[in-house]
Amino acid sequence: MTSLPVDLASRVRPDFPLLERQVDGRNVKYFDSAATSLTPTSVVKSIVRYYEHVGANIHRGKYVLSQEASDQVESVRQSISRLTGYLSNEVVFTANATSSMNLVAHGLPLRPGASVLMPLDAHHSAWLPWRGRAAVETIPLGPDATIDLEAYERLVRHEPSVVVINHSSNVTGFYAPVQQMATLAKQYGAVTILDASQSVGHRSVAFDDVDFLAFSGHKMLGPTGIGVLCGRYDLLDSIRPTAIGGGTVDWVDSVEHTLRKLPHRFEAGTPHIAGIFGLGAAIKYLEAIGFDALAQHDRSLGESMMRAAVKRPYLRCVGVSDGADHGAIVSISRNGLRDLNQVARILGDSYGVMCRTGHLCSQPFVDQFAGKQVLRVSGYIYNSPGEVEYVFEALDEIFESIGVSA
Amino acid sequence: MITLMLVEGINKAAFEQALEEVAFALKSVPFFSEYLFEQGLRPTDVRDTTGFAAIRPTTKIEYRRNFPRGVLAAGKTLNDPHILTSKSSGTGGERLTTVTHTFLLARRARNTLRANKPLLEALTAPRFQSVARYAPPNCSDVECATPFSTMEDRMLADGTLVLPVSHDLLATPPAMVNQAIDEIDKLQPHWLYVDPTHLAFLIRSMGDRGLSDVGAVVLTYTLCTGVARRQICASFEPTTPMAEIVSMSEFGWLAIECPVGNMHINNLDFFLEFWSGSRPTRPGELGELLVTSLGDRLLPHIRYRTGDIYRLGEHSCACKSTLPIVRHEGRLPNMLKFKTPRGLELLSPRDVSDLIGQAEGIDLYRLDQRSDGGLQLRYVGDADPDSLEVGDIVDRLRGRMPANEKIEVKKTHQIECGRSGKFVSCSSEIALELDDIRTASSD
Repeated sequence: MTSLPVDLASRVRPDFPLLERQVDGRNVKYFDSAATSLTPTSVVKSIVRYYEHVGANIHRGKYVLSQEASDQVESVRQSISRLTGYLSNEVVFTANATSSMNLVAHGLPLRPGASVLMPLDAHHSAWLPWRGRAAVETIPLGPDATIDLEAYERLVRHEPSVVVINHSSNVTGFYAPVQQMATLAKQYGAVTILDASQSVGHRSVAFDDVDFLAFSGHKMLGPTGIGVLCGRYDLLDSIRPTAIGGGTVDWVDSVEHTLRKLPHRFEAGTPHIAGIFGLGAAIKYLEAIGFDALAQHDRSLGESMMRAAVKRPYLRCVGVSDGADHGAIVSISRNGLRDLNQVARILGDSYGVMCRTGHLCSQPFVDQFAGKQVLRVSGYIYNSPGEVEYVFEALDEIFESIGVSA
Repeated sequence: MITLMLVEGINKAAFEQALEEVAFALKSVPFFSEYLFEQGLRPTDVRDTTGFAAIRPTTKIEYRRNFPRGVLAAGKTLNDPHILTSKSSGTGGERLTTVTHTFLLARRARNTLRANKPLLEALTAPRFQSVARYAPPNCSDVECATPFSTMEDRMLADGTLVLPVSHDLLATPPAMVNQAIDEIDKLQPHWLYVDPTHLAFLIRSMGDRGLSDVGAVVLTYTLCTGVARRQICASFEPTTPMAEIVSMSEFGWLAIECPVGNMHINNLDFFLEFWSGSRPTRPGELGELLVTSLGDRLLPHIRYRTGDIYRLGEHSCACKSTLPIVRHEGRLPNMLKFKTPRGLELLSPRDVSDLIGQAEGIDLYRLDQRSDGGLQLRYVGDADPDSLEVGDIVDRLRGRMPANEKIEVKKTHQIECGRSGKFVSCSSEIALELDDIRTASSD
């Protein structure tokens, strides 16, 4: 059944003015949501509302505008609490998921010789912050590019200090069995961190046994420059802030200072207030659709993509698994063609299709499974199966013109 | 009905070939047959100058949105042998991917070089020609804006070494400048293929290390200003063959400066038209160049709007070249626009360069016109803003502008490049349609 996703796409498309844009007379077909999602009008309006009607800084003044700004920011924190299952004082606003990951990796107390388990399909932003702080061991993937759970179980028995879980690969769209992995990690005493950058806004990200949760606003219809770190209170409290200054202290004399309570001690300086307003509007928008409908659309669109990719023998798909739960992302390559940038450029210029090429900030994984750069098609609520078909038919024509479709 | 006037100097034989190009495009290029059909033109309508002029000029947009399937000739693919692919960021921000047969590019270059015999001899000497390119990174087709790439990474298939440089030229770190200089020393190129602003920057950065062993210099990509030319000429032997060349990703070499100093345009490989609004221009008038390729059996261009503004010369050249003289003025967005009682007047980047001349105290400049008409001249160099030299320059510029125009002068150490990496010496925020040129050129 694909009627619901089609309906969802056609229902929400009017909310995304960018989709009305034409490039050289062709409508934009946006398939780079794994990098950044589009922004609905309600989110744009909420950002504009901050600048036009509120304007003031938060937590500083006692006047009405400042109070309004502070109230709105804190109410968005509560929205995130509702979305994630963390308490509102366990929700930290950051610049993005990368910043959230770095905050944990650089501030979490680790014992000497500590090790971190990292899935091979992790994003560089989840992986690199740990280098130099701990020994990073890779959780291998099976031939189908999904987590090798048996190997994971063997590794976790060695009692790593930290286990990073990648909720959804930004290359394959495969979802990891988060609950199973997190519960197992906790049995062996590990701190668990979930990178939900690719999943937030598509699926529920509320899990038990996940100590830290990181995501960005701009992949869930929100603005750029705003991210979130959620952390269980005691663990969050153990983290040494990597940046302090205005907004992070209760008391300062010429020698000493007292850090503020959680979570504000991690929010140094004036935050991206307008971004928080926008993030709140994005959450509201997604909640109005409902996460069941979001998940169904994600699965259905992902199946359309996978079907379209595998039925073309000239394409090589990174990760094909019959039983795996995967979302609306597919990455492809073509034997004998190293430069996919040209394909992506033609897709954009001649067909209006916007999608990404490269190693997708997941180079160890892409190198192992594709051996070279890939072209990624990633969709969201505003994309329909019909658009997916258009993309792949465009690829047929392009590869034929290049002379490598046979 | 519009009748195309074959302006003096335009090769009539080329027109016959242009008609053949149209016939080929109609038969073999999907986009073009649809394009003519949409205009209500039949193949039999395009048999003479009137029919040819009735074809609505094509634009970069059409070639971009139809690439490759719509604009490639039937049976051709991008993987065919002898094809060079160029990915242009576009001087005006209009991107384009285009392909050309390498043998066609070579023929066009050789025919263009007919107007500059010393350079022709230097560039076509019967030996291996090693070339070093120092140009805006987005024009280089390889990753050259990073200090981490090696000479091997940046060596093109034809043996051209692309030297490393930052997108924002003046922000190129010293280590990267030294890397470029060291690589020139190592390669010992027979000739340089450079953006003049970039080469002048490199020369300033080299100090006492010279480039005198280089056999020839091709100045292209952007306008060669007088101040850049002063610095470049001072670094080479006076006998070093050197010329400014107009080149386009779509066509390769199109026009060249002759030893006398005039620009000549290649009318052997292209059918050329110069238009202002809805009529062809007369010699001396400003007009946009339209190009029809000749004998291109891969990706033919028909009446292609280049966006470049020229004046067709009124006289023959002392160099005796039979290629027509033109003055390449620049692109419309880069021209300063003034409303006067006589109508609209334009000051082109070439005009500004002529007015500033080879000023000793100025190494680099940029003249900007804001949307409210205000002007600002920024420059890098030793000259004091209050000096006689700068004062004279401002007077000369103001002499070509309506009375009461004020020019704010600012000495600086940084003038930014465009996102494409190209340096723009003149820019205007005042938008203008090409049809408006008529007002200016009718004076």
